[in-house]
Amino acid sequence: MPQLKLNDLVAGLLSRTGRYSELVVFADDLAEVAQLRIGELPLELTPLDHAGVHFSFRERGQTFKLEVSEDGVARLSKLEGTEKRRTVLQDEAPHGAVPSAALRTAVAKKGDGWAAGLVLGLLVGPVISGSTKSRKVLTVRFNGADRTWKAYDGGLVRWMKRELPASD
Amino acid sequence: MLSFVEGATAPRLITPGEIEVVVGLYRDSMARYEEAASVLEHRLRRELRAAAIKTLVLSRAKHPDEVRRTLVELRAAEDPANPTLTFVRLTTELNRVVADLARARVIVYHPVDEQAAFELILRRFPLADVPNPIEHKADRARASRALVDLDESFDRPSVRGSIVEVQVASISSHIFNELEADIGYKTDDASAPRGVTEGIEDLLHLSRLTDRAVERLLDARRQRLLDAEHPLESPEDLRHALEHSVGHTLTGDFMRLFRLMDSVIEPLTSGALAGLGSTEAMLERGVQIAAELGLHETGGDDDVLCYTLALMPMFAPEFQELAKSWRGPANDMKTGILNWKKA
Repeated sequence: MPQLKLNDLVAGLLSRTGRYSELVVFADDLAEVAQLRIGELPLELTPLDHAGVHFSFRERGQTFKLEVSEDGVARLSKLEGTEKRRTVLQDEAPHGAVPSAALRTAVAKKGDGWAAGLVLGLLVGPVISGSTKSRKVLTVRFNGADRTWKAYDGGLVRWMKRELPASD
Repeated sequence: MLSFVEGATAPRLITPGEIEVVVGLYRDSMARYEEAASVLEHRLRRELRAAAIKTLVLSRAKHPDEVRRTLVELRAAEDPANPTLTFVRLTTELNRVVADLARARVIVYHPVDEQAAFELILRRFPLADVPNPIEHKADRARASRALVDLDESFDRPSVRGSIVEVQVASISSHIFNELEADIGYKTDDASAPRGVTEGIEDLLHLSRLTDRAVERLLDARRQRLLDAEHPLESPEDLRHALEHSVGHTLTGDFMRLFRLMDSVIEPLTSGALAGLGSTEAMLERGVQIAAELGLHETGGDDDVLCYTLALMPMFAPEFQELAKSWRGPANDMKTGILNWKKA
């Protein structure tokens, strides 16, 4: 059962005063991905392609980009500059194949015994100066009770860093 | 100086019958020594794990038969005219006469780790107030020994005042030490069968050979960590990478540091560490910050604390958020992180 909504992702991304540019979560935790899988286009999303991979939406006066990936993750980032919007016909819903694959992969990564209610995410920041590819990140956990993201340093840190890769 | 009052008897060497009584009393109180050894074993395991030193920790109380043997040997070495091994003394302070009633064994990969583990023990545990509380063996048997006093810093009142012998040895030395002590004969014992003597010598050579092989193995493993893009996957990896960059061993809670850094850097590599700044310079800066915060462990006593404080300008919000969720009693690292303020 997905526990996250788009506004939870936005709250997580903006919660740490612009220190991070991307929030990566497992695709099956996001309600909107479940809708996309069955061919429904959530009202707030605007498709940026027909493959069902990239979407934009506005929240809190800002524009964001949502990427759904076949490797089982959903990535949220701020959409800077002009939106490169593909012409999408009014009645044309994006293809549900990618969201469907994303969900399957996410569920497979977690396994049947995944702890109920555990929602993890990776905040991705800039590359550390002087380092070739290491970035500042923060591993976080969603707290459903108050809908906030808390820093997480539990036993799944190494695993989630591997399974929630940042976009290149 | 003690003087004998009229009617009192002079100290008298303990008799075999009295030794048997002492052994019986020890047997009745053996559970206390089992508990003391076990309590220290748990503390040792926690401290060594935090310091990212891989070890196998074991503990037990001395068997009553071994106590009897020890007392018989001590008795044989006594001067009957001026004995120190008296029945009264043994019934009141047996643990001070036989300091290894409770024992813990710390087994490390290699003699280099033996030194690091032993230094940690000396730093973190109080030594017993007995003659020669520290001993290093380096001839045939190789081990370091410390007699630790379970003082008021240990929670359980039942074990307070107990002395626990902690012996640190490499895996290969441990095997040699145990077999030589249990099966071998004293080297000057002319009655030792030739086969036993030769077997012990073979074991000694194998032990040294194993130490060298382990050293090569560890060197090869650590060499990979110097690759700027190879991930540091454990507190041990992080410790070795930082130690390599400064050229000497470092102290502190590497487990906590690894958890902090692993949560905020991806991938965590030697290259990322280099990007954060020179380890040497960061340690110096951390010492200053620790002093400014009034933390008692300053001046390089806790390298990890100093390194963490030097990282604060870059990771303060994240480290503070993570440290707030740490359970257990406050420590210098948590206090330092939470009290740090941007200058």
